[in-house]
Amino acid sequence: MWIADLLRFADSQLLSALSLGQEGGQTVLTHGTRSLVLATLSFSFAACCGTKMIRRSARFLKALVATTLVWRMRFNPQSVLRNPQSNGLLIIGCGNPDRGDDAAGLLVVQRLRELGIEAQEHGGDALALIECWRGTQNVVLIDTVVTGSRSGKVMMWDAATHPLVGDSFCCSTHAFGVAGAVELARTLGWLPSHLRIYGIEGKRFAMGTQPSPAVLRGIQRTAQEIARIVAPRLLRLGCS
Amino acid sequence: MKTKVIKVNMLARVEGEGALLIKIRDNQLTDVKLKIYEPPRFFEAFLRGRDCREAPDLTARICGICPVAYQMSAVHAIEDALCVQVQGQLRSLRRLLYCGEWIESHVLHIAMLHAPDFLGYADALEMARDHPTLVQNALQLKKVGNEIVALLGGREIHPINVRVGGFYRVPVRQELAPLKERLKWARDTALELVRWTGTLSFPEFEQDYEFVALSHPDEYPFNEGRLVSNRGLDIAAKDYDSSFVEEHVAHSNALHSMLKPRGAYFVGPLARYNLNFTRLPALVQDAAKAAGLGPECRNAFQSIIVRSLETLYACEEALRIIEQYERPDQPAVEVQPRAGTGYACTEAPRGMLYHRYALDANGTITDAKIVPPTSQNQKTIENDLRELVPKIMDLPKEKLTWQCEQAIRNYDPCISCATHFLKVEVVRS
Repeated sequence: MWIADLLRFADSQLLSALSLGQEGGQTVLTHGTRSLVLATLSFSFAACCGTKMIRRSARFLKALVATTLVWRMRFNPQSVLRNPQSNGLLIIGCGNPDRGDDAAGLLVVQRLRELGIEAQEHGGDALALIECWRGTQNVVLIDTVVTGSRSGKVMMWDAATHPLVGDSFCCSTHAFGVAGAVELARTLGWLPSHLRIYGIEGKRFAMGTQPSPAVLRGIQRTAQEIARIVAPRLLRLGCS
Repeated sequence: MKTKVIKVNMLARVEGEGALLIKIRDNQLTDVKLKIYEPPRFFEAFLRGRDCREAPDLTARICGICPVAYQMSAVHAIEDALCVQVQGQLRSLRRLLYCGEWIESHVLHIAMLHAPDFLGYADALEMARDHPTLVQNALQLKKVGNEIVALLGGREIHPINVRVGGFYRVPVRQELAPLKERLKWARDTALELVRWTGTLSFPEFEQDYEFVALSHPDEYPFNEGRLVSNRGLDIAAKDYDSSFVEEHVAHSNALHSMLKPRGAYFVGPLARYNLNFTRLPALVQDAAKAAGLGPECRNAFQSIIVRSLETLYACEEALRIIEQYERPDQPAVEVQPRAGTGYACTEAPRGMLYHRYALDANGTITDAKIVPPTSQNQKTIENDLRELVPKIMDLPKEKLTWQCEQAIRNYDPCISCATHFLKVEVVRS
């Protein structure tokens, strides 16, 4: 039983670390944070096994946590890593599946789910977006953008600290798009403290068409980048 | 000869894609066109050959703002064809679902799309900087509407719990209880919204409209009633086709609807209010009076007050339904396929929505007709512009354009809804 408790603790520490790692715009889990988490876990384990076994227990625990996370990732639908929102991290992909490159955000969500990472699809309506992220402090959002760059180019904005250029997010058929949602939420004081937006440059938006090959490559790159941020340990262990 | 052209290539703060063209020559208005260029969507065509029980879920996809309206008109029309009547608590739950949609839709339009016109802001974002409380309250109020739709419909947009004969699942009383406190807050906030809209300035623009809406002897209309007008129309939904006609105009992908033989007519909150004022509860009637509105309102610019009154009504009605709710034994009335034709009109947030379905003996749809409110209001919108432009012709072009756009937004047009059908003729030689 104490192993189960310890694993729960390990999960929570690792997931807290994911959030900690995003402080100050550093999205990637830092080496220092990892070491801190593992040290905490090792000491916890050592408290149960005796101080003489600290080194051995740390190695054992590291392997145990990694194995457990992989197992949970594959077999346990309630896995906290499958549901980043349980740790205050929300991933949202916006777009329209029937309008060519505008589907990019939704296809990133699909790819992330294939990697075992939970993410939400969204039509991009501003008011619903604000409702969607209210109360969540860490949000990653993916949408198609039009900036005049080459098709499929992936861009990233730290929207919590910098205003968005409204015209870039022009693909919504609703009265407000993503840029409107971000700026309205900022005005109302309802913006998440960490909001990272990935924009994939789109060019073709004809109804009933598929995204271009360049945008499909951008979708793949974006999904890998987000997966690297959310679950770097799992990618390293070959779960992708 | 001096020619002035007002051209808005993409109307802002309306649902869907449309444009406006106004031509003035030698101080004479020569042309007004509300151009709806959003591509046609052919819903009626692809409903043919589908099982009638699929219609509520298929037609809900016509609109993300008013999917409940499409579901309600669809189920009522199909139940009419199958000779089924849904009564009691199931009927009340349908009204409750509609309350949720009216709250969502009306608040979105009042605070986010229409209010900036009256306060002189380009959009809601700009307005929110100076009026954050208004926007915050509106978003919270809209959320209450979303919660009702999500609880009864299974999700907020494009609900999945509505079926011919009733619902797939009905809530127990305890599930509705938490909504009561939220709705009491919503009712108070809606009342504040009515007071606020009453303080806005409106241009003098009383018009002699023919208003058309459902009318029910006992209640403000959502799902049932006869189709009436202030000029003597009084018909059942099944007689819609003999009283109304649709025509295709070159500049719009949405068919223009007209009353035979009188032409343009007006559907929506203003029509409902004028034809059903006495069915509103005392709370709403008093709020109307306090906001400076009598039992009749012919100024389309004041539709923002009427929308806030209907929001208040929807909160009050939702509370009444929840307080009287007892879970029905069955979530739906059994339906058996049979051949027939069914008709229904219900009141979408933007106005009356007509559905007609012909079914074969297996319940397969052989023919469908859907007439959304924006399609019906197109002629009246153009008529309003013809009346308005000569009065404001001397304004600077930017201000003139602004007022014309505002006049269009009086109708909260949903262009995506309106462009569901276009007759296509293929000539082969």
